[in-house]
Amino acid sequence: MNIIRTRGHKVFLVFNYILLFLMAALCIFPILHVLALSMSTSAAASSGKVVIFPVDFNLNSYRYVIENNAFVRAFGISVLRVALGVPINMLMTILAAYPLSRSKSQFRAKGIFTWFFIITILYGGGLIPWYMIIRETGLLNSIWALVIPGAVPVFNVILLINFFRGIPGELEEAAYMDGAGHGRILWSIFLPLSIPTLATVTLFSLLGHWNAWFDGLILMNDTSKYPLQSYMQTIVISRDPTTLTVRDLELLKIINERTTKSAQLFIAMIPIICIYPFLQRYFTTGLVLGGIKG
Amino acid sequence: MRKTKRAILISLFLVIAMFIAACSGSSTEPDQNDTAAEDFDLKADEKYSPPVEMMSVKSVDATVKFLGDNDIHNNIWTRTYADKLGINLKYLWVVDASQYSQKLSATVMSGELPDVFVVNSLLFKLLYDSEMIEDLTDVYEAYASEKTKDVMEQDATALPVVTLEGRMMGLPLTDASIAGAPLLWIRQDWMNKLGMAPPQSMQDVMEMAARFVKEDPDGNGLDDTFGLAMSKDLWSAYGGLQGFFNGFHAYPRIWIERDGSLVYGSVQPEYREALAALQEMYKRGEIDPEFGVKDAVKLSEDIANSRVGIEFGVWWNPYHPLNLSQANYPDAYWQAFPIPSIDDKTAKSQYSAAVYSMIVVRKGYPHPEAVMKMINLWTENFLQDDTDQKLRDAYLGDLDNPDVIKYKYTDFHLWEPNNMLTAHEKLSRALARRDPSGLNIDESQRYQIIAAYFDQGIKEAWVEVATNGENGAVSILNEIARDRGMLNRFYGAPTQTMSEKMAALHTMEEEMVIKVIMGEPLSEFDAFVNEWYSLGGEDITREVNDWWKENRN
Repeated sequence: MNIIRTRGHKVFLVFNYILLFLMAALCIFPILHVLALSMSTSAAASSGKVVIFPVDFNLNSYRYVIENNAFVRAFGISVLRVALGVPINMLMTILAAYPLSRSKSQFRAKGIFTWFFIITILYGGGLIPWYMIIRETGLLNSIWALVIPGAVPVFNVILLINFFRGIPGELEEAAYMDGAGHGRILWSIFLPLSIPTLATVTLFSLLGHWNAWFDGLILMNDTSKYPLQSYMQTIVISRDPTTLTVRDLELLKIINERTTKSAQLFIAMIPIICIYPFLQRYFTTGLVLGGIKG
Repeated sequence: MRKTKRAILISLFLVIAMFIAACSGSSTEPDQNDTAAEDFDLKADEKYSPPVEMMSVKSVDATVKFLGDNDIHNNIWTRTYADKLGINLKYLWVVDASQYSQKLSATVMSGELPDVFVVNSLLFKLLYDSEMIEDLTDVYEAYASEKTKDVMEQDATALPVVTLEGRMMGLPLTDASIAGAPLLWIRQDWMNKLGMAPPQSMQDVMEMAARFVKEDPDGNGLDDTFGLAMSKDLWSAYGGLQGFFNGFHAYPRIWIERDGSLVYGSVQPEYREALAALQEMYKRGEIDPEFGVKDAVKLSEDIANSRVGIEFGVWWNPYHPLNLSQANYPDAYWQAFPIPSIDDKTAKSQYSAAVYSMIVVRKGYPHPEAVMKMINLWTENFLQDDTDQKLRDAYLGDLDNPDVIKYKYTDFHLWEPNNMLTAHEKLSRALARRDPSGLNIDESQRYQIIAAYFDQGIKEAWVEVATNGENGAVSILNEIARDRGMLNRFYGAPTQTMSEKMAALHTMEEEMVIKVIMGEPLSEFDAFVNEWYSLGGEDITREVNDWWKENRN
């Protein structure tokens, strides 16, 4: 710990903290701005007077949002989507990663299956074939269309494969000697040991489901079935100003209603803000651990 | 570890609790319901018996709201189609307007065509080329009612938009073309304060911009005003540049007739002069240095804060965003002026055919005339002068719930191109003799508002005065319609090369304009012109002129 005492290092520390503080402020600023907008009057918001403190503090826009059926319904659909999607993702990830992390002597066809997964990262079928498959399988317009097509997150599988490989073979052998089968080994040895990675992967899958908006727009045949982010996309998107007509006036006014827009943006952030800090401490360790091969 | 678990549980609980609270808070629904269709005596064509099925698709936006337990699949319009015409209208899907064309493309590509649907002109051409849509020429001749024909033919540009190789392949959703013509909007209260007269020429406009910057017209003691409202959307309906260019006899992005053929306005020498003038204004600090990154919302902030007093935009700008000025400055008043000219030739405001979209029928649909009956129902009942209030409340939008706009429940509505101008003439005459008799519902509402401004001094009513008042924006549109307009001469479906390359050429143009205004040499424009021709412009010009040979009149 001697280095800390050198003068040069002290100077470095001071600047380092200032720089880090500025970067943190840069990240937090937009969130504070949205929060302040949501709590201001719309006159103040539309004049651009609001920066990071609310002007003429009030909570009207939150009342409006909570009374707004479309928002509440979309929120509910997103919660349902996460509740269905994340467990399915996790189940699929674990069940795919375990066999693929075995050695070649244990699982001969491993190479073929690994490529089978990886190829989906490299090549996609394109929008229309994707849409047609989902239509032909009858998933269109149901919540399962948002959950089933992305049930196996291949990137997460690879992360978990790499972590499983790093677990010492002796543990597995010892368990085997004690009479454990593969199911037992996976459940009682591998999973408890890989909690940091599992937390990371859960977080990825959770964020993915919460933030996805495009599939909702394309796959749902009814705006009342939109998940939250698809709904948000429809309210924050701006119109092409060159083709505006007087018939779009009502819409223009809604689009410019920045306080309610901000309130909805902020409420949509809350679940992630709540969950993120608790999973985040595993996040860095989990990511690195998965990256080291045994 | 245990602590963390509890924290996760608590936060999850909070989220769920919030959600439940939100749900229970939302039970205050209006309990009134729409009236049934039978209650009204509508003029309708012969009813199908047995009823026919019609599958369509629908775009909705944030303004589409319902009363009671109505929804997009069951509302006054769907019930009326079923009861009066025997048409069971169903929607394959309903999507937000911003995603409509993408979703429609996916549907069309996957071979799952709805029976009747609304398309933009790009997809219209594509569907025609792949022979997926029905020829509606005979249907139009045989089934369109007198009023429908009148509406579709009032504007000579409407039918050519949907006519391909001499056959009518779709029904145009008409609107007033003239409504897109740019005007010059100036803060009247600033002009008065500085003792200035209305601008007679573009030179006056630029001088006014200079004085608005220097002389602190809002009187707040800060050097915070700009001359000209601009945003990164150069051709926007407000804060756009078309009007400025028109003052120099330049016509960005439209096709004009010159020496017996059609030429593209953005590559003509006049365009260069207008650019040079903008560049000078920017250099003198009369244009917001940040305009290149400002979007429409940011621009409306400037207007709300009275940071700008000259704007080029369309007639309805006072409804939005110019009305925002009054939030902070109750005396704010924007007045519309015709576009002045840079020389002794009269400046002409540019405008294009207003048919952005059309209704098409899937090839093989057994009842192509059904859609004609639906449109007749609209024109015969709702584009008539004597539509009564009860009917309007039920079908268009009711006065008790002004944010419920019911005509948006159906796509089969169109607007009368000439209505705006004729209505304004009637209203002006009524205002002149101070007598609202003989006006229809819309007009007399306008009359009341304008009267309130003058009689009771209700300042918010300026919006109506500035648009539909005697000297309001619409009176200038009347002038434009007579002899101060420049119609985009090309109003067909996009040509082959246009569909492929126009978007890229537009981007190129925008980048060039922003660069030149911000100080790059004017030779950038010359380079743009060359590139425009070589990157597809030449082919486009040829195709446009081929079209013109067939359609000029």
